[in-house]
Order: sequence, then structure tokens, then C-alpha cells
Amino acid sequence: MTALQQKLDILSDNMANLDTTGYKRKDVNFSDILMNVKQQPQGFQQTGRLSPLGYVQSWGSRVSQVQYDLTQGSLKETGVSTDLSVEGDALFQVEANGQIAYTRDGGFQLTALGGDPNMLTLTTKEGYPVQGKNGSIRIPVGYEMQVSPDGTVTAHPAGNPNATVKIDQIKLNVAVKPQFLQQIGNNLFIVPRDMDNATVQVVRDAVPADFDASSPGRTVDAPLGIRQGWLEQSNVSMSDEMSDLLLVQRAYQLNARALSSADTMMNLANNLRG
Amino acid sequence: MIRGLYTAAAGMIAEQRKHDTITNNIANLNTPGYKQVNAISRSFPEMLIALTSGQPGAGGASRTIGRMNTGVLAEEDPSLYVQGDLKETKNSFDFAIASDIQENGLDFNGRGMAFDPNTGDRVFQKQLFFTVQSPQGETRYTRSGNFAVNETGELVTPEGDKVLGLNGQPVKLVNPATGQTLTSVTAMADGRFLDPVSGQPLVDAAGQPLGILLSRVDNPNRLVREGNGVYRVNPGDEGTVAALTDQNGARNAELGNLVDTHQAVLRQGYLEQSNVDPAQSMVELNTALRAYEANQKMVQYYDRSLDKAVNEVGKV
Repeated sequence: MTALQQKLDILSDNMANLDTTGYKRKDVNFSDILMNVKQQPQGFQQTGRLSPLGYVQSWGSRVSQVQYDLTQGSLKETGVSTDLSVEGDALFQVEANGQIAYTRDGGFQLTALGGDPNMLTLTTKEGYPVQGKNGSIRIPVGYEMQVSPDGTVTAHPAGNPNATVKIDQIKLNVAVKPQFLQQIGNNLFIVPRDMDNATVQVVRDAVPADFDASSPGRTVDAPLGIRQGWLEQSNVSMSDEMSDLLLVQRAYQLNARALSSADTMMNLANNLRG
Repeated sequence: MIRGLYTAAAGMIAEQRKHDTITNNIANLNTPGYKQVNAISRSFPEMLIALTSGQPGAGGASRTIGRMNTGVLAEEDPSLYVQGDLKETKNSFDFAIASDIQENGLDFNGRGMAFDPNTGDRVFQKQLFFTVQSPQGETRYTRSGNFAVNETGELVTPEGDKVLGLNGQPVKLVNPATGQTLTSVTAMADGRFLDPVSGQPLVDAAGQPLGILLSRVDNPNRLVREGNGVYRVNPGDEGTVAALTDQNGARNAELGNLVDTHQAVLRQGYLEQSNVDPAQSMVELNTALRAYEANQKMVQYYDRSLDKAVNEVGKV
């Protein structure tokens, strides 16, 4: 029942984040628990016995694994130039209080950071700077930002599309072992502190070939891409979560019945005398 | 003394064991790869009841009355190894085995059992299992295919057991050319991995094909549950398991035959669900409870009989 309760908690977490941009749903897996094996003497080896000697008793199940489902969420057009979305298995990189963090939430904004009144920095809603190949992405005030599918950021003065200047390229990270990513809230993931990304390779930088659908050097299944003016919606599917919820609820009910049945049994044992 | 008291008590204990087993099945309703466990009871050994004459000089001559059993015990709890439902998870490191291995002349019933028409022996359906290696280096078998990639690129179970590959060694998902961990693979029905981008077979550092090793278990009842969804084979029973490893770099002929004739298939992005039947479990739960109650009542009746014998026989 405790294990199912945890699944229920995670399901409600998923459902609560149905409308969170870039949210990745979590999935729970169970495993059974073995507690004791009663040894049996040789005399129990009778003809017709199916299994080897010993009476194996196990007591319940537990949550063995909580995994992120990093599949693509649906994209929704917003028309806002600072709304970016990633197509494919990659994450944006942001700097959150001096720490590198990763996110799929591309609802960015331009913020005045660093005391320079003429420059705006592309940040998340929480104000964490989005990282490009050369650090934070800074756009001069009065310029309009363009992002190409491979992440190249250019800008031009408002009303003058010909005077385009190249700013930087948005850094994308391929999630190699997404199960090690640790969620720290605000839709951010980090590589756990006790893990060295250089050796473990939880995430790695996307290479230019990853953006090219026809390139043989591509290292990811589906080509990566960035779309400007679109936001990735949560990949939680209401119908899946609801059917899971029903299943869990019924399983919980069945467990509760088993519990009350065991309770009745104890009561019978207690009332053996009179 | 009154034997029936202990017989009824033994019945209570056996029913309690049965109840425990069913409760555990219900608790594992959502555990991938879990196989339903059934408690099987056996009566205590028979004993001969005799009436001793008690007459002096008769040499203790006694007359046999008959045989009786004085109780019951939960003897064993084998699992039911029939196929569980497959559930799509879309996770590329979730695998499920669907197998229905037929044998000539045998007609397996819904519980995976058949009778040999020639000898009349019970024969159990052969099953395929994933082969994993525990941290202590021991080989274990499991039907639970929710795997993940660990720090060093090895395919592991949630408990950290390494999944064995086609050559009997742990699967290492590393591109031999670049040394980088592979982000995903495409698995074919026979467990071999393909590169999802190029569609070419993946190979390890030695140039051997990468894939998941399936093991055939001839009599799954000889497997011993170890918890966490894994099974082990006791010493002496090794013959019941055959690892379908690659033969000289080529696909195992037996596995190839099973896959080609659709008797076994490995599915990627699916998990095999527990094969526990909730309705049946509920019924069995109630049956065990009521049988327990009946035994409890028997104990009480014996108690009342004793009460009469002790307190009322000598009353005037």
C-alpha cells in the first residue's frame, strides 16, 4: 500500500503539471520484496513436488525506480520571440546561481542583468541566464532576436532587418543518461553533485551533425532543432494518467481489502479462547 | 490427548500461509514481470491407529483401526509462469519477453502445463528469461525488463544487476569507435541491437554483435525466487537452464527458430505486467479466511469438549 501511495503521489504530481511548459512526466516501477526462506528437511522432497526444497515467503512490493519520460511534448505556437522549444532529446543549459542546470522549458525572457543598461540577457522566468557557446546570450537594447533551427542567435535593430549581427549559438545538451538527472524544482535538472559528468556522461554537448537529418555522423535518433515562437507543452497525457490512476486506485482498494481480511484473521486468532 | 485440537491448529497455520501468499500477490499487482505464487498444502504423514487390548498376558496384542492424518501444512509455493500482459511504456530501455514455446505432441493448458501422452508425466512449458549478473557475479534470471544505463554505460536492472549480452558478458552500450555512451538503441525481436540512426547492427569493442541474452528455462518450477523479481537456480538444477548465446558470432539457431516461428519475441518499449488475477486473488483470499475461521471454530469446539470433560463429568 505504501508503494502504491507513492505511485499515486507521482501521478498527482504529473497531473498537476499538465500545463507546465517543458514538464517531463515521471514513471514509477515496482519490485517485489523477499523476506525469508523457510528451510525444509530432505523429507519434504516427495514425488510430485514441483519446486526445490524451501518455502519462499515474500512480503509485498516497493518502488524500485522512478524514471523521467523524456519524450517530446507537443509544441504550441505563442508567437513570442523569446519562447523557444527544443525538438529532439536535448536540453537547454542555464546558469542557476553559479551552478549549471538543464531545462526543457523554453519560456525565456530578456532581462537587464549585469548593470549594463544597453544589453539585455536571455534568461529563464526565474532570471537564470541561458547559456550559449560563449556564455550568456546578450542582445543589445532595441534589437530583435532571431533564433535559427540550429540555435544560432542573431539580432537586428527593430525595423532594419538587413543590419543583422550574429550574437551566439544556444548551447544544447544531449541527455545521454537521463535517469541520473536530478530535478531541483523550477523545471530545472542538474547532474548530481557526487557525479562527474566528464566520466559518467550524463549529458554531453550536441554536435553540429545532430541538427542535420541527413548527416551520417548524427549521434541522436531524431535530429535536434530549436523553434522560435513555440513552447513545448508538458508531455503528460491526461488519458494515460487517468487510466493509471484508476488502476492504482483499484489496486489500492484490493490491498486494503487484503489488509482488512488479514485483520479479521488476527481477530479470529485473538478470539480463539471463547 | 485430543488430536483434533492440533489438527485444527495446523489447519489455521496452513491457511494463514495461503493468505500471506495471496496478500503478497495482491501487493505485487503492479510489479513488472511478477509471477503469481500459489501455496500448495499437503497433509501430515499418515499414521496407523491401533487399539491396544490392555489385557495382561495378551502380549500387547493390538487391533488396527485404520489410518489417519493429523494435520496439514503449506508445503511449497511455486509460481505460475504464464505470460503476463504487455504494457507500452515508450521507454526505449524497457523490454518485455512474450513467449509461447510449443513442443511436439504436447498441448499446454492455461497454466502452462501439459501431460506427456506417452509417459503421462507432467510437463511444464519452457519459458525465456533475461539473464542478469548480481554484484557478486552470480547469474540470475528475471522477466522484469525495466532496465537503465549506469554510469559506465552498462545496461542494469533497478537493483544494479548487470544485464548479460549475447556473448554472456554484461552489455556495455558504448560506441567502440568514439567511446561515447549510446543514447538509445533499437532492439530486434531476437534481442539484437541496431543503431537507431543508421539501422546497422551495433557491435562491441571486439566486433561482436550487441544484444540482450535470453535464457531458456526448461522447467521454470526449479527456479527459486530471490526477491526483486530475480530467480536463481540451485546447484544441481543447472541443466534446466540454457543460455541462448551467439554461436560463432551468428544468431543462436534455437533462438532464431523460436523468433522466426513467432513462439518468442522481445519487445522494446514494453513491460510485462504481473500475471496476478485480481478477481481470483480476491476469491482465494476469502476462501482462505473462511477456512481459517472454520478451523478456529473447530479449536473452540474441542475446547468446549475439554471443558465438559474437565468440569462437568465429575459433577454431582
